[in-house]
Amino acid sequence: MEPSTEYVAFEEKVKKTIYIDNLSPQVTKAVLEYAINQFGNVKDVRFVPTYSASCGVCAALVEMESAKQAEEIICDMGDSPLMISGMPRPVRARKARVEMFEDRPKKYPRTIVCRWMDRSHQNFELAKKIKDLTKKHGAEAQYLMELQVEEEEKLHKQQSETLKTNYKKYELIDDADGNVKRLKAEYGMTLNDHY
Amino acid sequence: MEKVNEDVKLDFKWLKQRGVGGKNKMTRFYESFEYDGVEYMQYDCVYMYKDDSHEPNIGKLTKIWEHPDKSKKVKIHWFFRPEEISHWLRETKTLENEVFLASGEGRGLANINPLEAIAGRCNVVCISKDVRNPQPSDEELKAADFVFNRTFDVQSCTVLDKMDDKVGGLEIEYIFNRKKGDTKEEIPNTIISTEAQITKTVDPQDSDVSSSLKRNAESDKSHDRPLKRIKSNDKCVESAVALGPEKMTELPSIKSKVDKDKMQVSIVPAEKIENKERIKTPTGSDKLHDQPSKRMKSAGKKPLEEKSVQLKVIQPAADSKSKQEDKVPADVNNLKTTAENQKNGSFKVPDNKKPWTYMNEKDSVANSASPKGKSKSGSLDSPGDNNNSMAVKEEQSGELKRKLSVDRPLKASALSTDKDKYKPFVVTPRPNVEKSTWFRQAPWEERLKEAYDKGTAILLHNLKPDYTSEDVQNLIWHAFKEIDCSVKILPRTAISSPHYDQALVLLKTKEAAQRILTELDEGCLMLSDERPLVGTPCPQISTKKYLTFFGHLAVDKARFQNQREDEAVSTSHFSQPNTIEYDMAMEWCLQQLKSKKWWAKFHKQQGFELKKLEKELKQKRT
Repeated sequence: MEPSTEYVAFEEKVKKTIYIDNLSPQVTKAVLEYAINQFGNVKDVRFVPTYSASCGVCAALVEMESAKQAEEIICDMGDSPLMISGMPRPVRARKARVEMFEDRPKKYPRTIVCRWMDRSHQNFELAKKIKDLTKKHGAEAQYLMELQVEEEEKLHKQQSETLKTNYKKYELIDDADGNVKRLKAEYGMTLNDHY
Repeated sequence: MEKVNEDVKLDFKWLKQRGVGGKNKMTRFYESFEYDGVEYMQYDCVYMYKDDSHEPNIGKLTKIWEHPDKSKKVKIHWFFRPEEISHWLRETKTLENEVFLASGEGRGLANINPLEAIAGRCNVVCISKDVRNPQPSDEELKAADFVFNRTFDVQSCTVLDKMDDKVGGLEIEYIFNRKKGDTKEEIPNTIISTEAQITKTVDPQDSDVSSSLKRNAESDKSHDRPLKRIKSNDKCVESAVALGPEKMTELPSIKSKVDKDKMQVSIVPAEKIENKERIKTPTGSDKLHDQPSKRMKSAGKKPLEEKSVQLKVIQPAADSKSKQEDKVPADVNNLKTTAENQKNGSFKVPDNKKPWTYMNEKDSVANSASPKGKSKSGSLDSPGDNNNSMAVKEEQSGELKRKLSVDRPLKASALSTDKDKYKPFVVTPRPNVEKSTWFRQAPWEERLKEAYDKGTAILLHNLKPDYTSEDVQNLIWHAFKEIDCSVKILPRTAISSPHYDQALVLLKTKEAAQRILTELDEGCLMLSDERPLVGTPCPQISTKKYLTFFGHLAVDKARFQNQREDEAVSTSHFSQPNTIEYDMAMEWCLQQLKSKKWWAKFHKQQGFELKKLEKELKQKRT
């Protein structure tokens, strides 16, 4: 069976698209477009909607002019960290995949057949097990996501502490500079200005 | 070495001598030896122990000798695992147990190690289609620990397919599979854990590994790669790989031994002593599968506090020396263990998150319902594709199977009205819904929020990946006779499961939503490939602005909480090394990599569990 032409065109588009996540929620379409335009021609930017509260990251699908551009950008972003609208958390890029798009066309024309399973059927219990497993998986994934957000929060706090102390250090140094100058004036000394 | 032999009483016996050489003809070369009950021959593949890492290195014994001072050495020609050269592999597909033979010249090709560093025999089969290579049989392939057919040139850092007559100085016939009749019976691998040794392992791509692993160097160290290497050189000499506290006393003696060896051995020019970093999470995957299920039963334990002990045998390295080492290996180990712990922890859903009692209040249920898959599916491209093509095939074969078994439910009971329910039905497009124009007005997000508030939204799971929104709408019409519904398939994100898709369904009334959920829960609506459809109430929705995002810091104390909306110009830049920002960025990259790995492992595990049950179901059907 040949995939439909619509699907083939869609696949082409997917090849040219980069999936970027770890974006700040404040990043707008314009910002992202501008950022990626430095590396290539951006054709389209679409945000991947996030509905759940627990999900920590925002992501977007950026369509480039060619698949090669997309690949190059992904490699570059893998080598050195790119920051958009804030630092130091870098964004992450990877190749887009078909399932990432919301509105994808059908690959093959096909019909779906479903049925309700007979309760007395021997496989009913098994099917129920699969259902329960699916639900369990969902809960697990949710939990994992929460753990991840916790880790991120920890890192963030730790880094902001580091930054604060660094900043204080710089402030101290700056202040010292001012003090030295005052003292110099007071005592009427000359100083060799190394700085 | 004498001290080593005292503490570790592993049997050793030279077998076949090959010749003599070296200074004064006192060095003896051997062809085979027996160590700890295992017989090793020249050109066998072995596992080489590496300090406080979970994965041993794989190498080929190319030379075996004994010095006049009774120290035993082996020259190891390395194999690379895909993870170690992932940076240069890029998108190249690799088999699950594929490794790459080192080729070319220079660092990373081969090393001399003490014989005691051997951790066990390894079965590596060459699957190259070269005419000179005896092709392995199917049983041999199955029994193989690893396979290889490509080489990795350590000079140019490229993957090569073709093999010349010599690969890295090794004759080709010793690289290909041995001709039948040469090999002796396979001895199963033994990974020896109670040894003290120094392993002089090589980090061939030190500079590039650091970028691909996004090393977190100490902030006062410069980021010059050669500098780093030298520093780790120093530290490695001090850090003997002691696997138990009692072995610490051997450090000074072994250190002096190392120096002596340097003077004596003039064969190999390059002796680099570095730690090879690995960020790979352990592949004790069998054990990993068992563990979580056990843990699920024991509730209430804090997941992150548990130390994972399921890896093959290796005990954690003594602390005192780890402080001396590069911060990086320690970090890498921590991340490995925390990644493991994360994984383990994640399988222990706390008791209050019982997912399948949706009769209770909305809050507890909302908490426990599945997340919106927002991020991308698992990291490798190939499994996803395989899933898709497999899914399509399964669907087709599933349909065939169903046609055969369609008679069964009909035959089983005499009642007519109930049985009609169990007939398979084709999901055709539902009748036109022109009249409900109010549906089209508000944008999806608003409608979703509204629906969530009113309780008319549900989340469907276990949909096949190639379903579209219309398919699901039609399905709902056929199964539940609900016309007024709006469906959106949730796009896959980095963290959503690659095994199935989810969809949000907005219904008109709360009762409809409840009814559907009840029916889905009590009965089993089987989709095309014997997957039961699962429905849960919609989890909590939140709009974008209120999402908490960690990681953006502002130097200005006044606005510490990443409020950057008032910035006139949006900034985006590549971070430069030698800045604090870069260091922090590296930490984030590490975090991201960690998260990528654990999600991948998580999904793999889930897939495994799902497939097991699905297979059972299919088997019982036929």
